[in-house]
Amino acid sequence: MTIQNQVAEMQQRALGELGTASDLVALDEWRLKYLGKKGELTGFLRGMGQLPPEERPIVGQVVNAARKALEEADATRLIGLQAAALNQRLASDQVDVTLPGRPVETGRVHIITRTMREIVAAFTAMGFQIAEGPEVELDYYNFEQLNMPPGHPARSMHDTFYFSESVVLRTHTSPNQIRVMEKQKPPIRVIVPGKCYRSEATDATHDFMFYQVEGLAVDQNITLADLRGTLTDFARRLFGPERKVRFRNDYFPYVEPGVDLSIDCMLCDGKGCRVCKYSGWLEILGAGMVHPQVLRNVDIDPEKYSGFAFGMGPSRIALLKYGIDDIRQFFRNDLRFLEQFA
Amino acid sequence: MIKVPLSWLRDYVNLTLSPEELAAGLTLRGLEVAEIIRVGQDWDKVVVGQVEKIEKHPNADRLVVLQVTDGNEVYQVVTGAFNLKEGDKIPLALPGAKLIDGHKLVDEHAAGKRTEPLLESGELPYFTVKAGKMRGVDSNAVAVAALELGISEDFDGIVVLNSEFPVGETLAAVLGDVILDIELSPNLGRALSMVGVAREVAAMTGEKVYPPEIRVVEDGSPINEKISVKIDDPDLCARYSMMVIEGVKIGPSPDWMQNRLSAVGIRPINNIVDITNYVMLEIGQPLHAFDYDELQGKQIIVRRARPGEKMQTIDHKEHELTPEILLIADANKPIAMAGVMGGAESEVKDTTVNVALEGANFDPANIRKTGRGLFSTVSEAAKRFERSVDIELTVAGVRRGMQLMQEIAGGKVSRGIVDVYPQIRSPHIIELPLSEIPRILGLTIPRDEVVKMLEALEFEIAELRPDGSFQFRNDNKQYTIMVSETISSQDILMVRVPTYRNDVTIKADLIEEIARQYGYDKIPESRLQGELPPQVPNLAYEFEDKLREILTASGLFEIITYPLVSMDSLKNLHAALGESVAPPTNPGGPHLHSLHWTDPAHLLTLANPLSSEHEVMRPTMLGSTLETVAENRRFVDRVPVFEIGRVYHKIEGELLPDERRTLSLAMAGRRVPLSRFNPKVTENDRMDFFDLKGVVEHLLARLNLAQTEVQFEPVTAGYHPALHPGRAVDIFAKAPGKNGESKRLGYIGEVHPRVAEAFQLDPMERIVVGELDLELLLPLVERERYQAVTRMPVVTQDMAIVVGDEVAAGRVQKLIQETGGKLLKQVTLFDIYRGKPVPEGKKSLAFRLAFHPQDKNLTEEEVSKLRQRIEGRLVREVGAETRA
Ligand SMILES: [Zn+2]
Repeated sequence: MTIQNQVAEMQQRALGELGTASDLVALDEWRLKYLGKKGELTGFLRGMGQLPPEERPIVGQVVNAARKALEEADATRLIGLQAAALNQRLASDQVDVTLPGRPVETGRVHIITRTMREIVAAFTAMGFQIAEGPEVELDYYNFEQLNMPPGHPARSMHDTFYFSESVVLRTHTSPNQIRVMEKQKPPIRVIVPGKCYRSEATDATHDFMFYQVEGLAVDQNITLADLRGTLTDFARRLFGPERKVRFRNDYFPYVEPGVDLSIDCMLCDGKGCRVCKYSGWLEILGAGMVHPQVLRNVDIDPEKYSGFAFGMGPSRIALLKYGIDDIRQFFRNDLRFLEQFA
Repeated sequence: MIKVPLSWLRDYVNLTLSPEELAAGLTLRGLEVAEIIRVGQDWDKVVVGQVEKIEKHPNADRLVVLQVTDGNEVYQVVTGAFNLKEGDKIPLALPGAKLIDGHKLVDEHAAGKRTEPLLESGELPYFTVKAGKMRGVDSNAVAVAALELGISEDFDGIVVLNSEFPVGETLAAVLGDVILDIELSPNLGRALSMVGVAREVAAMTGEKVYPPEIRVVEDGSPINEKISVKIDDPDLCARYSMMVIEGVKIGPSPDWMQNRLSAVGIRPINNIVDITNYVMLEIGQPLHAFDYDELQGKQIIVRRARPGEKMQTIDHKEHELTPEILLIADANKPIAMAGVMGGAESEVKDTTVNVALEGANFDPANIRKTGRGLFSTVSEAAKRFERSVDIELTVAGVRRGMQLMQEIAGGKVSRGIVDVYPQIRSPHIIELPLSEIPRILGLTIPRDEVVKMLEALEFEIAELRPDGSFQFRNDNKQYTIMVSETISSQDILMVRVPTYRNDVTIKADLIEEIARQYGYDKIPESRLQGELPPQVPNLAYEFEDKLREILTASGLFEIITYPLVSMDSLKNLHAALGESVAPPTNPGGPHLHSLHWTDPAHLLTLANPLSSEHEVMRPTMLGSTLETVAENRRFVDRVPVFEIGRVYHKIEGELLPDERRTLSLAMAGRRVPLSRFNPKVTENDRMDFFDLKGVVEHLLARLNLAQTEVQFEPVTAGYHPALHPGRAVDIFAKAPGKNGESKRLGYIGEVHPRVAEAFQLDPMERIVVGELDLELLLPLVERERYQAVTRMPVVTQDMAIVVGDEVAAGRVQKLIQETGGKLLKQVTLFDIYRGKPVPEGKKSLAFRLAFHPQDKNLTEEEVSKLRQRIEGRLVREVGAETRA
């Protein structure tokens, strides 16, 4: 048998054995046996020294061709076996994917905070600055400077908690209009969120504590049309672009003209339901042009400057937005309630 | 609130709009229609019937048998009412009609299940009319009482209808009505009458107002012979008018008047009293009728009460009077509390023959004070005076009252009127530059239009004369204004305000009138223009949001509780005080210091709390937080919460307190959720001190207090009676430098079992709480600075040391950290071991040290050198033994 034939026979045998190498370990053994340093193929090369010199290159070529063929076969087989091994691992790794995942528990921001952030963000985007003020407030700021001297009939709309004749729990965030304007001169654009208090009996729609967000813009040439445009933009941003907005006359002693802004009831689409008291409208904020006397009280000339102010209740807005039926839920802090709002 | 029946309103103005349009229009103008009430819309199958015959019931003395026709058919009706006579027209309910079940209402009232007024006592029972027998006699329809129709509380007799109503007509057609229930803001006193609302309707629709025509036949004695009036306090009573009528016959007022009063919610009493109410509702002037013969000295004196003076009001309550109260008195004694309530003695009774009728104008603020000070409900008169009444209405009111009394109750009216009006008020005149309209409203309206709008509201516009002066009709006075280069007389309207518009005094008020008349719904929409104020961040507000972000990510829920707390809640925080060490005398500063929490000297207490539940402004948030934990623990097994709020501390010598932003924290209950990954939620899985400490450490690390060293120190005995003495720390912020000031930021700790018990919590459960003073924390926060992140391999090594049990692990960790220096980025205590082979009284602490090389790879030598230095220091300073 010629060496060529021996090599050919070996190659065939090797390829046959390769087919039976069923895992990576067997493949390693196979490789050692044929392609290893002491493998059969190397044996041919080693035996080449005994061949006549003219045959050597020929045998060399044959051996190298066989090596190439075996290496290629090896690589292919390796890929096949690796894939099979991976598939097997994946198969044995299988789980019941319908089982629940590992629980994640995180906290939540309070729904009132979230609603407040939404309101405040809508106005900061329009250049309003955030201010804050004290909750325990002087009667002077809460009423007197806002055109409500003692005995003013509008005071009867503010059931007031007081500590002494001159110190009250603020009934609205409006005293901050005065506090801001005492310190700052036009142009002014501020938004003041905070807690307010009224000594009212509590029920599903009233609580003695609530939040308010106050807004104030003062400059030359600010008009009622600006007020309407600004607050209509706001209402649609918060409640959706399809909302109808009603703009009507209302009364607050510290504005003139006064305004009430309502949106069409989203619960009944304006047809009338219990929540909107069958009117089809939901009041969301009170507003108006800052009263000239209020401007004068803080040494801003009402002949030169004008402005608008508005106030709204995040509790009421959240109530409407999420269809919550009892305002007392907010400060009861039942986690089963709070976790409903992402 | 005022109820306006359209049937009544129609007397004074043509109604050209549907009730819905009317309601929507009035609402836009500021008269908010809360409800459109339709009377009679459910009177199906109730018609006008006429009684043809009345006979006794053959089997029952207390029943009668009626024959009633509806024009087509005669119905036999059995009824228990005896108020009818043949020929009367009555509401007849035919089979199928649905009526309110009056018998059931009366029975339920008798059984104590309902209160009067019955029609407002909740869900009403109804019954359907059917033909049947009553005590053996056929009854084929029902003769209806007022209660059964829902128009009044009367259930004693059958309603007798106006004899002019056509027989067979539906009742709804003759008695049905639409009532607008209007909510009125305090400036809308002028709309507290039918004429007042009619004026608004007229201004809206362009119709004319027809006030009632007043004609009185003055056929009695001259008024000066009957009565004299003196006003001692004209500051509280600007005008007082009075007439006297003699020989009246007291009795019920006519049905039409009773029906109108009932429709607006006023109970009919007798003709004289009803007339005073009727006139008030009609034109807005409150009237008061006195029994003339009870007036001593035939004299009326309007004066302040004298100290110690007493009087009994018509509700038969005795009142002790003070000089703030304005009285109507006769020569001897008080006879009425001016504008608020009449006196019992001088009230009109069945025996009254002669009546003195008062129409006056009282000071709104004083009425408000008196009325609300003494009575739980505000009388109809006071409601109007509070909002101020047209000063020109006193005479018209008295004369209208006299007219109706004469027509209804008979009698002779005195000649003339007493009208005391010390300081005559002239109408307001306002100069309105037309440029104010675009400046404030953002729209331009031609001068003629503006004039028309104001005139529709009964404002008078002065005529501009050729010489540039202004003159009003019926007024000789000429008004001139300052003209300048920029403003001429043409650009200005001189406006005279109707006397009933007390709410209009300045330009801005007129601008609002123009906007109302123009239509709020037509105001254009524009956006703010012009320069923005300087934009500066609100650090405190942003800081709060940052805290929320970190804490919610740490698993905590934000809560918001009432800052008004009960004294009991604060006392509960001291439930363990008796058992802890005596409190130190000077805990230093009030903030977060538990020993002051119940000290009235530091607390703000409401003068008028709604209840003791909420009467003190909290000096700490701990109580509210624990209440929230307790409330939630009833329903959920895990309560991790935080609140960002304020605590309130009195400041000596200041009116307003220190309101300090504070963070309150609490964790209680299971640590990890029950799941197949954690099948046994055992005692070891409960949250404790270290859960919250971890949160706080994480929070403070995230806030980046780079220059500040945060120190957790075991609490000083006695400082924190609300906390577990062995599981609580004070948190200090130490400023940089050796002598850097140390400030107490707050505390965390487990709640003392006694305190837990006081808050209805399980004393065996660990509840860990904390508070941080954000006012102190905020200024310590620094901007994060970039630090290079190494790209070289990090070397980690474990190190175990044995120290005495008494050595605080924190101290060991700090020593390691300090000694390790810059290269030692992280020191993690990962095991604590007691027991063999560690000797008794000692513990083994295992740390993992992570060395981060800076600019070149760390050699083993460098690391072991550092390690030796660390070990050496531990041996020296805490007597550590090192273990392999
Ligand atoms: Zn609705």
